Amino acid sequence: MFEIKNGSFGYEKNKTILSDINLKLGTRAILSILGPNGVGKTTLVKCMLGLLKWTSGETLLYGKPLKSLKKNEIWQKIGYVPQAKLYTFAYTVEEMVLLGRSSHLKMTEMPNKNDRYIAHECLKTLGVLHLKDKLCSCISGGELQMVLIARALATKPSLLILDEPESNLDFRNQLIILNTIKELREQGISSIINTHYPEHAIGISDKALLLKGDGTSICGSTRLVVTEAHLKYAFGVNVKIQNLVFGPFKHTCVLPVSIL
Amino acid sequence: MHLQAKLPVGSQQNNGNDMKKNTPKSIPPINLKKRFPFFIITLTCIIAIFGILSLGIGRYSLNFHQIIKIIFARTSPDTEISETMRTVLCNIRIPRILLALISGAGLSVAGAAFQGLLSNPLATPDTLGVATGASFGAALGILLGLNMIFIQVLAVVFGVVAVIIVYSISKFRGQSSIIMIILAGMVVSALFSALVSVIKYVADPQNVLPSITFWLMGSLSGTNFKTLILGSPFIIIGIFLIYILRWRLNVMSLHEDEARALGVNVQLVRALIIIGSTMITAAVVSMCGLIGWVGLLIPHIARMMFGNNNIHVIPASIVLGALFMLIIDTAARSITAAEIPVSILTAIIGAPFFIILLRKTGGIFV
Repeated sequence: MFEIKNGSFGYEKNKTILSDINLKLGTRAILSILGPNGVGKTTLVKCMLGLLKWTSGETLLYGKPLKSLKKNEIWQKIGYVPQAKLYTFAYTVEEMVLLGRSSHLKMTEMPNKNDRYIAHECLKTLGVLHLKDKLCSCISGGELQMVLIARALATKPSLLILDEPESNLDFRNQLIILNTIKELREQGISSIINTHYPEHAIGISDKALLLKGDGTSICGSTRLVVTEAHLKYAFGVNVKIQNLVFGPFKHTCVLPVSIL
Repeated sequence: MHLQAKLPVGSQQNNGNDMKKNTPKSIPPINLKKRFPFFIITLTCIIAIFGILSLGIGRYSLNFHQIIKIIFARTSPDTEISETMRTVLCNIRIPRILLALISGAGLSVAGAAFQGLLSNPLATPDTLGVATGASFGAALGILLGLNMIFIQVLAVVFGVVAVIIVYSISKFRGQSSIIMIILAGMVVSALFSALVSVIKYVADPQNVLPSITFWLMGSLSGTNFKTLILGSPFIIIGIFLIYILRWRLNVMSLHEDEARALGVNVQLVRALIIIGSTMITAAVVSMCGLIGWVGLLIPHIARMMFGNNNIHVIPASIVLGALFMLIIDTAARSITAAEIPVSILTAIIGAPFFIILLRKTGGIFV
């Protein structure tokens, strides 16, 4: 469904940040992107989406290169969820989620009843419908993140791309977000998430992409990519991966032990 | 659908409440929002009534009876109505009141559009240097002793030139970012205001300088149908352009990547809104000089009443702006024997009013 072929990118000519990225993602799949700070995770996400242009290589959506598709066609299939941050002008939650309908409306069109219905359904799916009349500046960070996911869902996408959705959230909200992403997979929506937590990658994703400092990357099934050796090499940290079992729950812990 | 049961959000609700305690009292604008159409209709009626009443106010006062007679019985000779009365009403007051309504609405909409577009609550119609550019054009025209029509044309031309300069400075790697636009606007604005100073410096202090100075402080005097017909189409088209794009304007105040990822052609919408606002501002400045405050004040009043959704902010700005300018201009021409520059009144009346509103609402737009 979603594919990147030999993607390379650099802001300046001689400095490549990302080199030769390859990945393939099917339906009902979750991909995690891992890597140290400043390695280009956000840049990678932007390149994937066509917000930045690959210097070489391309992104394919359903087998067609992204460049050949119209903007509306792309953004009706891909929903982008940015990190929750404050906006200059606070809209209400309902207004914010309605903005997700933009790609379905012509430039001068206003959202109608049907769009409002879809927005409410998305809020209901995520269990935050009760917030609809609140201002986005008056809800918690976890709630705002849910609202932004709802906004992305309002486009009715088949792929969600989330930029560090669980950063800055407490334990409980982190789990809520991760469960939501897993639940959406059951409903047929694939996700690509950018994360700082290898544990989360192991917990929810089918595939993982690990960016190393030199611009190269490893991509494959999560179990094969997120290993002690790989993490040690990418982050420069001694890492211990341990399986814990609490009754029916199996959990994999990733512990950063010491700096190399 | 299944999610709802699995994700109890009890604790999140608590978080929300805790946060609410910390934020200053923000009055939810929900009640007013539901009555939005009612509000617009009421205010339009008030504008109509006040507009007709203000036809009679001024140095040469006319009563309601006379006004009706002049308007509806134009051809029949009437001993009660003198030629002077007719001239005052038809050639001076009607165009002037129309100009007040249209320029008030225009400046407010342009201000609201720039605030949304630049996602900056401090933006005004002059943020991109349009008004400063236009006032340079007008000052140049006055210095050269051109007649009113040419002064007007020169003002519009230089207003547009200023924005074109700003836009081309801000283009970097084929894209123009908001911060570059704002900074380029500041620089170009400073440049043109220096040029205005040069003109004031070389102008004859006996008669040219005072007229430049008076013009720079803004005034609706000297309006006639000719200038109105020349300038108002720009304002009306500009308002219309922004009005039909008002929902898109909401997306523009998000971060640029986010707006693009929502499927919006950011560069195109941005260009259209800048064109609309520029047309409005340049035309207003060309007809009535620099009028401060309206473009900042009115959109914020609209936001305090109806929230930040531009579906409401733009229409509310149109009616509130028209009414505000009508009141200000009526005051400007009737309080004292001499005409008071409009910018002085907009600040003196506007500032305290704005402060009261800010204190009362806690400024919900923050």
